[in-house]
Amino acid sequence: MIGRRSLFTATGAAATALSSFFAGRAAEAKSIVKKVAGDVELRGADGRMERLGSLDLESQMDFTAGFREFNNKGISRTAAMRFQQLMKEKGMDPKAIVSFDEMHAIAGSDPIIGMSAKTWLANQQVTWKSLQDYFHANADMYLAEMEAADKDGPGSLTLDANLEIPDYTKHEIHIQPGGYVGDPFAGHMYHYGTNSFYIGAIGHNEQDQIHKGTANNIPMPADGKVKRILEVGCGLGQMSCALKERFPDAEVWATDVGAPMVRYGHMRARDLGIAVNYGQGLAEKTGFPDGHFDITVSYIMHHELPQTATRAVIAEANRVTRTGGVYYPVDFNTGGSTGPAYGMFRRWWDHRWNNEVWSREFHTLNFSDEIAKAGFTLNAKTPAALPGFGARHFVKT
Amino acid sequence: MAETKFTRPTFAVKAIPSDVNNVTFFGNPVLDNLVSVVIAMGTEVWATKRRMKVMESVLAKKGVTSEMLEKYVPTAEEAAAWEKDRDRFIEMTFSALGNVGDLTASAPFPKRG
Repeated sequence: MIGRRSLFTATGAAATALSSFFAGRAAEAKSIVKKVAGDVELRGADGRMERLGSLDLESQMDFTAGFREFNNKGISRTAAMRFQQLMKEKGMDPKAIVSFDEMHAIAGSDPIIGMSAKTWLANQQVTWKSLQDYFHANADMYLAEMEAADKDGPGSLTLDANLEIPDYTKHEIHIQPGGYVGDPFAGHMYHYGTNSFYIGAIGHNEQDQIHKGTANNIPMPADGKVKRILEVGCGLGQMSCALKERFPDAEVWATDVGAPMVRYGHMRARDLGIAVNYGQGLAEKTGFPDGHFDITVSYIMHHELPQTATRAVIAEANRVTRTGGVYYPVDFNTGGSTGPAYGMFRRWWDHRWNNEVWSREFHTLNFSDEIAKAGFTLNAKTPAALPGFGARHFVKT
Repeated sequence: MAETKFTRPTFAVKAIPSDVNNVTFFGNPVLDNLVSVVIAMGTEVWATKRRMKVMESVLAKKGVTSEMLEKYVPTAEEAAAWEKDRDRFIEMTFSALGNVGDLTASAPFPKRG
């Protein structure tokens, strides 16, 4: 099972060697990004991934990706062993299941345990700062690039200057400076920053491999009709692009509260020649007609929402999905207010110090039950679209 | 980096900042800061090393091979200068390891004659 901490903080034990940030490049390392008007592509592209604009920045990202794996496999194991030692000293079973409070009591301010969190977070901060410094130093060039793409196609972009942005969306999730709404280059930073998130946890994603695999596993409605697809909380739009590639004849719509995210997403889809309609908007209030979509999805969004917003988003999904249509919110398995001590430690600092503000609320919810209560029926036979995550193939009934 | 002045529309709004810089995992913010410095320095060192690798690859395509670099024998003058620079680097980077501080921050001057 892939836990929240596995993807965005720790990695699982799957990886056996430190991998290069660039190992996921397309086999022939050729660009498939189209050269379009206003496009800034200073150092070419590997497949569908535009190379970062400077060699130093590329190398900094290479280091932080490598260090993330090193931390997950080396320093963290030391910390896990330290937990076991401390528990033995306290007369506890080292494998005991504990709560957050019990975990804190065991760890105290132990520096060996603290080192695993501190180094991970410092590496995360260097990742973001390197990216932000670069894009801010070259802001005019990259903002002009987005401006050139805003009104161009294929696909479309709709921004809403009057959108009332809820406070719950304004947090600096993953300690990304400005979060998803507060920095004009939020999409750029998220894209390059999260590439290293995937390495070691699930696999390389520089060519959207993870999103494509997930999109290909989303079940079709029983009647086989897929004319319109909606992705809410689309971020930089990798999942919506993958869905459009799977269903080229369908209209694909994708919304996110962050204007910088959908601007980047639209620009990238346009460069790839993928016609997705992006819009700035709230997942809980999409503005689409009742029963408009054959498939409604989200990709690792709900754990970034408070429970009230999650329930509102589920209700909206139920409203806009047609009878017989599919609702598939890809996200982590819920549960987990107790667990092995070291796992709870990671879950804690991921929530508190990696600024996963709402992850505790998500994990204390029975997410699938909430969806079922809203008028969807779970098809329990369908495996998880993203292996290790929740199996949530719901049908509007 | 100082706050950036953007000359084009950004479509960004004010975010709610995280307080990650306030946490101390070692009970002493100085120690936490030092760990941050080490990670940042590692990033810069690797970026420099990787640039060197790129340079070597480019040079190789121009006829300067890796073997030529490996087998290069510095002149006596170069060897002396490099050794001096190495010692300066070591002194600059690691001399603090020899410090044994035993005064609190509020300690007064010792008695003077």
